[in-house]
Amino acid sequence: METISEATDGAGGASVRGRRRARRGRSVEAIAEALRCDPELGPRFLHWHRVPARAAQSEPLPQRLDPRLRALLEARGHTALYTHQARALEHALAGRDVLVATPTASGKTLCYTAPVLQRLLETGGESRSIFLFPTKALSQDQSAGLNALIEELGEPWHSFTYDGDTPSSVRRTLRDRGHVLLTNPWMLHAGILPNHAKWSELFASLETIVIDEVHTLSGVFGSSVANVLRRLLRIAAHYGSRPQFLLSSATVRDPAAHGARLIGREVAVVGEDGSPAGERIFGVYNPPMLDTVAGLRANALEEARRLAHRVCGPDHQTIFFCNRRTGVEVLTRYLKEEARDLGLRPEEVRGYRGGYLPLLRREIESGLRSGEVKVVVTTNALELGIDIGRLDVAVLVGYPGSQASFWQRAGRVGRRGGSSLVVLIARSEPVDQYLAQHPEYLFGAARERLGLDPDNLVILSEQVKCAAFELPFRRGELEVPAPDGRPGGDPGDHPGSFAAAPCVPEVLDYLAEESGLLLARGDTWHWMADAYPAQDVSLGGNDPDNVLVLDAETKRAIGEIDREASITTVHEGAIYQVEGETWIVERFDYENRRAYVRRVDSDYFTEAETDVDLRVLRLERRATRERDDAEQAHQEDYSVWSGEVHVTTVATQYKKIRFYTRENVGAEDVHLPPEELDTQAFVLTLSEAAAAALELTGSDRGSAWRGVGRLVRRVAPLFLRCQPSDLGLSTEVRAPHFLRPAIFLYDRVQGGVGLGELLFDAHREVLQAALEVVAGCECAGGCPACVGPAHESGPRGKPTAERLLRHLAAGAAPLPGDPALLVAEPPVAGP
Amino acid sequence: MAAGGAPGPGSEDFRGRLRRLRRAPAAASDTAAGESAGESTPPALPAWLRARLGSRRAAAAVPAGPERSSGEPRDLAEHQGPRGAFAARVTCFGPASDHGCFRLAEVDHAERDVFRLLTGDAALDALDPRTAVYLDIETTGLSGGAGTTPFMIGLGRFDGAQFELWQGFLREPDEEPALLAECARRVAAASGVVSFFGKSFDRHRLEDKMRMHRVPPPFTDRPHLDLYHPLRRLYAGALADGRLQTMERSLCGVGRADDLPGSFAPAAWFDFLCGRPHLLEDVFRHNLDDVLSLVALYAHLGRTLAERRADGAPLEAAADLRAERAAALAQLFVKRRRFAEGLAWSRRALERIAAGGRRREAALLEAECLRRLGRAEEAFAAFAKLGAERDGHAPVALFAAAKLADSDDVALPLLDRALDLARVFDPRLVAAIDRRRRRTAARLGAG
Repeated sequence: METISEATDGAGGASVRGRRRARRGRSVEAIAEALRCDPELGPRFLHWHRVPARAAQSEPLPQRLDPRLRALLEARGHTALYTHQARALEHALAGRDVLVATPTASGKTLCYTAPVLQRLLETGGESRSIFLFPTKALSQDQSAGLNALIEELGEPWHSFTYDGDTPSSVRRTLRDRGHVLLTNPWMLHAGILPNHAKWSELFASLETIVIDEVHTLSGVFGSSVANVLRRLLRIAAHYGSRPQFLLSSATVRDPAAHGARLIGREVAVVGEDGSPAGERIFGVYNPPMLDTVAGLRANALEEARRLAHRVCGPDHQTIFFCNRRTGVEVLTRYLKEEARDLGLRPEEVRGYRGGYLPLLRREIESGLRSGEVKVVVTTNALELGIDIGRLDVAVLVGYPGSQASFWQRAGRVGRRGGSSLVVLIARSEPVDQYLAQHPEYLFGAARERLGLDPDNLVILSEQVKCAAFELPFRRGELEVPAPDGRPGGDPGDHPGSFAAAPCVPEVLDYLAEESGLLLARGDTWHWMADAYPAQDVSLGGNDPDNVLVLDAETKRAIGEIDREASITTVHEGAIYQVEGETWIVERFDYENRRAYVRRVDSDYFTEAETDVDLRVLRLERRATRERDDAEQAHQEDYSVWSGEVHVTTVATQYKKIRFYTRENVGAEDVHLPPEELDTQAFVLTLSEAAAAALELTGSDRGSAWRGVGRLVRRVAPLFLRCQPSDLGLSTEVRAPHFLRPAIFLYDRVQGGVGLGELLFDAHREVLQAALEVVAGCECAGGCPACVGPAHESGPRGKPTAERLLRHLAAGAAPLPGDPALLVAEPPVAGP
Repeated sequence: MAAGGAPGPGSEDFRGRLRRLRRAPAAASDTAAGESAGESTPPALPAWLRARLGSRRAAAAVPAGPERSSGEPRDLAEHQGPRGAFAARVTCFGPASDHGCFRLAEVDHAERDVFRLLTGDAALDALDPRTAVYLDIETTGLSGGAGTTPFMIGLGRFDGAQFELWQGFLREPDEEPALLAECARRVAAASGVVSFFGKSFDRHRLEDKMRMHRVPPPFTDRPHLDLYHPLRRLYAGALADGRLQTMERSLCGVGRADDLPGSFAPAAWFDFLCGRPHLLEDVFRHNLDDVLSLVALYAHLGRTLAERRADGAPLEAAADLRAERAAALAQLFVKRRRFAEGLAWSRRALERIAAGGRRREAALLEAECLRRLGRAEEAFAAFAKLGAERDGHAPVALFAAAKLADSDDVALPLLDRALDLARVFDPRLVAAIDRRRRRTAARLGAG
């Protein structure tokens, strides 16, 4: 089918061609079989799992569709719809809010573009839509696809991307001319909603709000976005529109509940995937043990490189998922260098990650779609719905951290009419090792619940502040529950998107009387301050507050990186990599968020280490329980606290690591200001006497205590409706501030959103839940599902943690106490 | 709601909880809780907290001096419009009134084609100073966005022999639609709008609010002269900054006594709304001065080419302003490809500027005009003269002179020198000069 045209290197050409030929025509099925039977690699595959092929379930295009749209879809090969697409369209055309929760590449885009185009056709181009994407890359990708469709319809309509990259000179034209606005939550929050008058035409005719990948909207970020949507609906109502929601999501647990919490209305869920897929073969690969004493296994990246020789080839496409940027770059470099051994040309191997510039990304995406790119190495950047078609083999270098991510990544492969292969390489890390032993966790039903709490008081009050800037609040809009019909004629009479939220009048009174930001007049609160509140209100999540990476010579941007990662990636001396090319960072202008790099041929890459330091600033609440044995009367047992803490993260030093050998060839200090976080924390302290009584003693007590902390952190999100990543954990057996064992759980958002406070109130339930997890866990001596694996939590880690939790969760609840009173106790000597 | 139950007003002291959660500074009653828990000194207020609490402090430091008043501003008359009641103060100025050293009526002597020359906007031909409105607003902030409220709208216009200044004022936020509707009516009745920086600011604040309240904005397709840009173009080099007050003082001799800085306007209105003693009288006066300055600056700008007022008096005394103006006009005429006028103004600039970069720029313009007008010999001489010095203009001039040279013999040394200087002062020119130099040298060699 394809001609070979490399032969640029004369004599070597023949053998390269030979290698290429040798690798032709191998089916994925055969590759999997070869791996299974391989005497060396075969035994390392601990588990094989097959998902049988699924035939397409399809239905004819709905009669209701506009003939022109039908013709367009048919011309693109959609003579029929998959059942989930048909259900989604049915709901959408009936005006219902829909959530389509099916895997990547199942044709979700059509579920929202078709209704939007249908409405445009029905209204003669009057209807307007907003598409929200969780990343900039996604919105650019979708804009191109949508414009292609519109062009084929031959209508003078426009869709456009509006984000931080949109030049201000064209913004005005876009505002006036656009029919479909593609943007992201940050832009909506800080740019569009506060300036809604400039978008009045859009809001007046706003019929559809599309939100893609809603499973990414969870935790603090998701809870903030839910409030941004309340603001959006409020403004739409002001201009007389009541838009419909079309949502898409990965497969998650209880999508209906998640969708409803996010948009504040019931959603019709479409979850049955009707798209066809070939058989999928899953293999869980555990690298060989190098050091049985330390439990250290061969490096997962090196193993990926080794597996590449088996799973890459000129006749199919392979995708490697790494969890870190460095991983992507190192592996890309390896595979490019070894491309000829894989029967490939180096340019058929590409790296792809978030920090690449848009043009480069576009080029790689289209290479994947056309089949020119045979191997791509990526991060989660290709986990979301960017259109690259379906590939053949996926290698996950390490567990991505959640079931949803695992399935999103696995969903990148699975062509119709052939088998595909997914290999998960377990790292030495606890969770990976646990999964290697318990693959049923991966292949069972979705277990992770997405946390979302739009009514979190801090998030809500910050967002109410932003909403009050946008339109005055009327008491009526808060008392009337949102009616289902269109809003009445009176522009002041909103249907009340904030009506369902608790305490909004009280928040408004607070903002009026204590903050002095609002003026209360009769039944109305007016904004009354010289300020632009959205600027100071963070949504959480990875704010695209980026650092640009510039070529020091040409001053051209070669990449970008988020701020949090910048201190460990583009510090001076760091090796920055783009598609396997190495650049050295000459200067990092931290203030102005610019890193200047110079192209070098480096035989090493760099990895930086960070130190986290937590300091108590102020304690606000406390509850204490006394010990209940008579002779110890009035001795403290344990206390819980809430208060402010200051968390400092500083990059300390970086190591130079040689490619291939991973030999450490030197270390240097990093000189950067620390990243500071002022936030709120929940603290649990145990008196030294109680610790001694509970045998939290000995040299390994630190790891046992940390095990307790991990358990609490693991279950807390269920009670706080946040994500595990929203909570930071720090445990100390002798915390300097308390002089006793302490567990700190803190908000990872600047300023905090009250998670510590919620945890303070719910701590008994949380402790009980943590106890149930550890007590019910079937492992012998600790595993990632409970206190962590034995080699981390210590030999007595699991029983100690269980004993501690049983003690803390049982008996009387602690009583409110004085946070100022901290009785010093002498440290109890160990037995 | 998550654990702990919804914090309702009944369940706990809601305000205390919110204060704690939002981590606002504790009220006097519950300060005890904090510092004693270990820290000997309370931590400095973190940045995010300062940002959250910022608004109150901004209102604090008002300069000493101005008298505060209480209650509604004086001389407000209430009117009924189609969108409800609104209030305004009207101040009239007689035919002989002046502002600074300009009589308001001097707008009649403006040479109106100068505005088109300065802005390139042909629509301004239709703007008649006698039927235009002079617009300036006071807002609750400069950031823009839906929460930025124009609470005072100053609209001046000539009414017969008089000049009438209408200052619409928001007594209550809810009067906004009525006030904006009246503002829109007044603007729509005018032949155009004169403002200072209004194309970038005032117009958009009003339009945003009008769209919010469904008042059709009157600005689209209406001639709008924004004095800021032409005045900047003419006088930027001679003035410290581009502020209205700098312009009016330097060009029209306006001196304001006890002017309230514009940044205090928001606080004045907030104080009034909350029933506190306020400085609104100063804001009214500030706004009035702003509008009158628009009239005076219009009159001034209208005499730019004449450089004299209608009575023959020089436009202003300061020599540097006259020099700047000539240089800027020379540049402008060249840009508009009116080379004869460009030549005249560049020569005027040369008369007025004794030395320095500005003078050399003018000389370059003179040479360029001569060339464009086909006066090649004079142009050559002028360019060659410029090329005798060592600065950034020299390579350009030498390159231009070489192109005008009668023969390659003459051109080559000019190009040699141009190349040397370009390497030092203007590397972008090197390639082009070098190409020509080589061709010239080749021809000479061949000959």
